Amino acid sequence: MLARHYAYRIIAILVLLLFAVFFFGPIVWLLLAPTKTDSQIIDQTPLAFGSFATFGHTFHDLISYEGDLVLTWLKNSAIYSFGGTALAVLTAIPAGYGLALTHFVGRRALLAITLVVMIVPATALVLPLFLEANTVHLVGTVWSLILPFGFFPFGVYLAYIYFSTTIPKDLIGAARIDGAGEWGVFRRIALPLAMPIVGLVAFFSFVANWNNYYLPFVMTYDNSQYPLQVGLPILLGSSPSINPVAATGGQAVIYRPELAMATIVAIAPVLIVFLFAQRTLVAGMLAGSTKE
Amino acid sequence: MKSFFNLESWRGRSLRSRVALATVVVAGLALAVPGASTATTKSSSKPLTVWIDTSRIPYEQAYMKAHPGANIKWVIYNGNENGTGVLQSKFALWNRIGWPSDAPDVMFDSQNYDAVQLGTAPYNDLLNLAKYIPASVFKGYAGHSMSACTTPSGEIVCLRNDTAADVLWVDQGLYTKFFGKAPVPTTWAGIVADGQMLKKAHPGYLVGDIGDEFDDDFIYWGNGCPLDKVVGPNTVEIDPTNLACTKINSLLDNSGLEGNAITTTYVFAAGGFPAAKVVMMVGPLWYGTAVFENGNKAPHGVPDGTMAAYPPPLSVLGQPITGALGGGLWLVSSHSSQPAAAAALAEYMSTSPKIQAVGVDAGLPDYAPDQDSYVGAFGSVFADPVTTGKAWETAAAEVWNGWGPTPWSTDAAWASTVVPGVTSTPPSTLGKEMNSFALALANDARLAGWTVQSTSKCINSFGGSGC
Amino acid sequence: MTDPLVKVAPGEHASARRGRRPRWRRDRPPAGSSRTAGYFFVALYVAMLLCLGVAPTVYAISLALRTSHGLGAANFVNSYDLPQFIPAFKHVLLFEAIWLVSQSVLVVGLALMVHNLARRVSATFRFIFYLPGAMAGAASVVIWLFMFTPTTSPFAFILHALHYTLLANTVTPNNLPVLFAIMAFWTGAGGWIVVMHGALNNVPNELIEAAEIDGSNAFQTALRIKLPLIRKWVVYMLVLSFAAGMQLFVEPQILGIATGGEVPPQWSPNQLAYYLAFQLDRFNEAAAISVDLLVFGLLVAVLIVWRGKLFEVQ
Repeated sequence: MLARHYAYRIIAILVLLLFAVFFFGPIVWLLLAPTKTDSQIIDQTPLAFGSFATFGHTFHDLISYEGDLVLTWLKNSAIYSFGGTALAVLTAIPAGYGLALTHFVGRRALLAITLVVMIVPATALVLPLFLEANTVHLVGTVWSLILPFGFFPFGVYLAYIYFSTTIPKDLIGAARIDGAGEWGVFRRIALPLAMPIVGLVAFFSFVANWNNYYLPFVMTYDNSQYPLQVGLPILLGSSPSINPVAATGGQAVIYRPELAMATIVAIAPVLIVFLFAQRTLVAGMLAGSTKE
Repeated sequence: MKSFFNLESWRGRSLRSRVALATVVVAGLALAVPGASTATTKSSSKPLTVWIDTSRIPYEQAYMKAHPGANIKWVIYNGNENGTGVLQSKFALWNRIGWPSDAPDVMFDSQNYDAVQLGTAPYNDLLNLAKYIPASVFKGYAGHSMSACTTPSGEIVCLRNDTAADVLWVDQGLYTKFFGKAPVPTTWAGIVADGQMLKKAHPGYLVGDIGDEFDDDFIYWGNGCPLDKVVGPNTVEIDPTNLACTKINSLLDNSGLEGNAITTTYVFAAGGFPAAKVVMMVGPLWYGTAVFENGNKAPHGVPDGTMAAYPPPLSVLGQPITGALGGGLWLVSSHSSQPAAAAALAEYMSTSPKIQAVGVDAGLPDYAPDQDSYVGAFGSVFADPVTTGKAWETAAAEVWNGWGPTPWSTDAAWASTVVPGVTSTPPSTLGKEMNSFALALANDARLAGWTVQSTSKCINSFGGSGC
Repeated sequence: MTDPLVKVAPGEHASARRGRRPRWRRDRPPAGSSRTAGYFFVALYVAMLLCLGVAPTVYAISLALRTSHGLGAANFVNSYDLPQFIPAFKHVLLFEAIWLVSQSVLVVGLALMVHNLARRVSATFRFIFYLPGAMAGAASVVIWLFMFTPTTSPFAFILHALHYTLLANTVTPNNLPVLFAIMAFWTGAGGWIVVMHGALNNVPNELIEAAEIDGSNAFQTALRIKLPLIRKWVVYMLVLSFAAGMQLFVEPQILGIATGGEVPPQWSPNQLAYYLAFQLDRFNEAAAISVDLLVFGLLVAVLIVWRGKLFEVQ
């Protein structure tokens, strides 16, 4: 019995290691790729390390592409994503609180509509959103992206679940009896306890905004307005490794190492946020499913 | 469903203050803050906005050198390449909301089939250049190439930039070594015969390639097989049973060369294309530098002065036609506020030797009067520059005008049907994949609202039930 | 500080107490300000919901219904008749089937395995699984482009075993649902494993101990005790994943660009809608397809939620 128990354990560990390789392997490859030249990527073993000098060379090639266009894209991604996240947090946290802990006519309807909107295909809304943005003359401005990014029904739903399960009702009741207004209740009781959910909503919103492709593709039309996600396929198309016709004109500098480097630049901010927010995230996520 | 929102709600006994949540509303939301804008204009008149791709940056530099201080705003975009449809999507949106003031006046487009689509309904966004440019200029373009710029109603909606006609590339050294003084083949059958000799005596050497995502441009376009033939307004002929199609398929499929002397690896394969093993190969003229030179290091590249271009082979039915892969167009927007200036700019970019002579890599100018000086600047890049230059010019004039322009990419259909087949293990044959290729083309045509003419039962059936 | 609700195990719900009235539950709305206070909290969100959620949806529906002869179903009929319509739905449904089944099994299995490990080890594994979630969208496609190319991939031995030597071999039409399922699993599974892990933490220890005393081994404990208690989260995962999966766009779009069209530009319904709108300037039929996706997603969501008794808040 004990032996079987240990056998199960060993099998479990092996399976977990296998999947760890599956999840982590591509990332390792990605980090190593810019240290090699294009032919080294092909000729050497996939996880070989090239050289730091090559890494620097790749970085330089990428950054100098069309006058540091990639840095512009990075800046745009940051503006759209952080702006959208700030707005999302500002709207979702109070809304989730309101849905969870206050009572008003239409509360259930609002919750139901929120769920429905979460399922609506985003692509269906892109043209209407574009026409709306155009009506208020926001097309081509950062607001054409920040405002839609700030609309985050999933965050509202998360906040709703969080507040309804972690704020004890009798605490709220006691505060109300004490004469605190609703705003006072929110500020003094809910907000201090809300750090995990703020972190969680901010995180999900940021990741979704950063990785969004379709909306920015439609709302912006200048290369200099693209975020990184939209720029990445542009780089793919400019690379002779992917698109043979890009080799004409002799201007090509984007090959496989530069593409890998561009991908690293595209994911680095989210990865950093992942690393720093890991504790908050896990706590926040679990708060919906466990009660401490 | 009642169980949905059965949430306990606390009801306070008394509330004395009302909630004010106005802090959430950011004042800045009321202001429309302009985003990243790149418009800078130093003069009081509006600049001409020109969209180009990275490969045309040398053109921009040449233009500004010839016109210092010109009031032009150059914008780099992806050239509308490879099915990204940037122009189509922008035009569709702008047609609904009105064209912005910084919309492009002139655009370089790397997709040769875009002009007629963008210049006709429902787009109708391109200027009729016939009103601004003399007809003699249009006659200067090689062969029938301007048919890609002519709408069914006779408007001229683009100018050609470069031609990427297919020629027969030959490694002079290898050819002499294996075939001595024999003349270079002038037919596909001749290429196949040479390939069969090589397969027996010198295996590993190549005479062709069918694994690329665009080989339909050499194999079918170059042989006059009607798979993309415009026969009327919004009407296309897609006929895989045509003699030209069946003949080239059986020639190649029965050659025994597919997979060896006619390689199924592709020219930009991740493993590197064995350019040093190519004895001869039909390919566009820009292969000379992009594929074969390629850093000049064997086995992925050959030294300068190795490759020479010869006239493309006759079609399997004996016609002096060839296909093409690439090139580009100059488009002028019909919404431009300065149509005359925009048309003049497009004409200059397309015809001026100062632009078109920029570098051997840039592709042979489609405008014939510029071609001589272009090939005259070959230097020692190719073996036998005189023959190569003549072959380029001949090929440019021979590009068959029975292929497009249709608003879909034949290469994409080829890539999703034939390429998986012929590159798999065991490989399929062109003949076996022909119907699925043609059917994919027919589906693209029907999606775009075109009528398909065919004598093939397969193509005429709905959903390919007759295949 | 405990909430009386804690004693309810997950999956149970106050609906079990529907017959009784808990002492804190009131049906009459509170007098005066507390009702309007709620409005203030949700005001900004409601404004955005109307402008950025409801209004565009209504507009999309109206676009779909607008024909040259007034309102009608012509766009739905015409888009249905396109040769790419049914294949697109077939593609995506096959992708969904492969992805959701394998993801459910693997996520639950991995979560169970990870749950039994020591805390630090468990956390490390969860972090590794979670990391690819940072790379959704275009970035993950570029990464997997290299993973699918036999000459650059660290998984080349698998590709070579399948006789693949070129990217074109890996990305053949028949493989596409599997490839997209792999990519979706790679980016999405980690987050759900963490959620399942949290749900498993919720399983009362007494139940597990009781089962072990009764002689149940790890496997049986997992099957009979743990699984039923995390069922709602599995259903939640299925609903959200299904909805997201129906909208598959970025992956086939970029893979198509990278392979010169080997993935056709109308492979998924969303791609077909995009193509109609932005390549052929036929927004009405595109809107019809989007409405199809919406209705489909809603129906399945409602079905799963109803059968899975999902939205019972703890």
